[in-house]
Amino acid sequence: MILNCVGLFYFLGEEISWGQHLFKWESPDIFFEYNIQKETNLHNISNLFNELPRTFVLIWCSFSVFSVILINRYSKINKRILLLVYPNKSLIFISSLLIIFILPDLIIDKFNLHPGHGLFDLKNFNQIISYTIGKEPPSFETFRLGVFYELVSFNFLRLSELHELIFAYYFFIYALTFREKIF
Amino acid sequence: MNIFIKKKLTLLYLIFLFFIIFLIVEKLLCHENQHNFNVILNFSCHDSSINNLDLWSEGKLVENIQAILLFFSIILLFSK
Repeated sequence: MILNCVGLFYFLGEEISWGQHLFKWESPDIFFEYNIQKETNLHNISNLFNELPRTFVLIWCSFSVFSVILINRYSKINKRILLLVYPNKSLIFISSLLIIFILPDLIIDKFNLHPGHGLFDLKNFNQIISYTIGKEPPSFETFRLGVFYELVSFNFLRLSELHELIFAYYFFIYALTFREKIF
Repeated sequence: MNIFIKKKLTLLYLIFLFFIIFLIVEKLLCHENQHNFNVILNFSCHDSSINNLDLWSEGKLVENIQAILLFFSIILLFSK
């Protein structure tokens, strides 16, 4: 539970750049130098502070409830562990929602189906023109395929922001239902 | 209404689902379809304030909602 709170505190702190978004202070020199977005946070400095915790949270939010339910069918799990992992079965709804937004992008990415990211910004047709400079332009079918994959994988959104929103909602419902069970 | 009060989780899920749908539709229609306005889109996106909200940018609505949800999660876990 302490680990959970520390994780949430880190997530919240990084999300608001430890208060910079609220109080609008200037980033210290070290962040100005090493942070990609020049903000007072760690996750834009190194993948170690971004991709690693993100992957862990993603696995936890997507699969923990399903895994525990499945394991519990075959061998009974301690009730306290069950309560800690999923205080309410309805968390499955959020896990499923998250999987819906992860799977298409993951499949397209892993099987290398997309004909080329960046070409298919739906509103910015100038990118197609820039592609043609020195290169053979993509055919209309390739362009349509790219647009299709952009839509199916939800990449026309800021997908990582959507994932983070669902993570935050998952933890909110988790905290709400956990509290109800405990008190 | 009574059923919603009894099942507050259902209500919370519905609100969240509609919020996600709104975000997706807003982005898809108002930001990715600017070359193909029809009358309804013109009204709901081009001429209204929706198109200027910039919901997905740093420090805007989506990030603020995340921060609020995380803040209340921590409060809920700590408070008795």
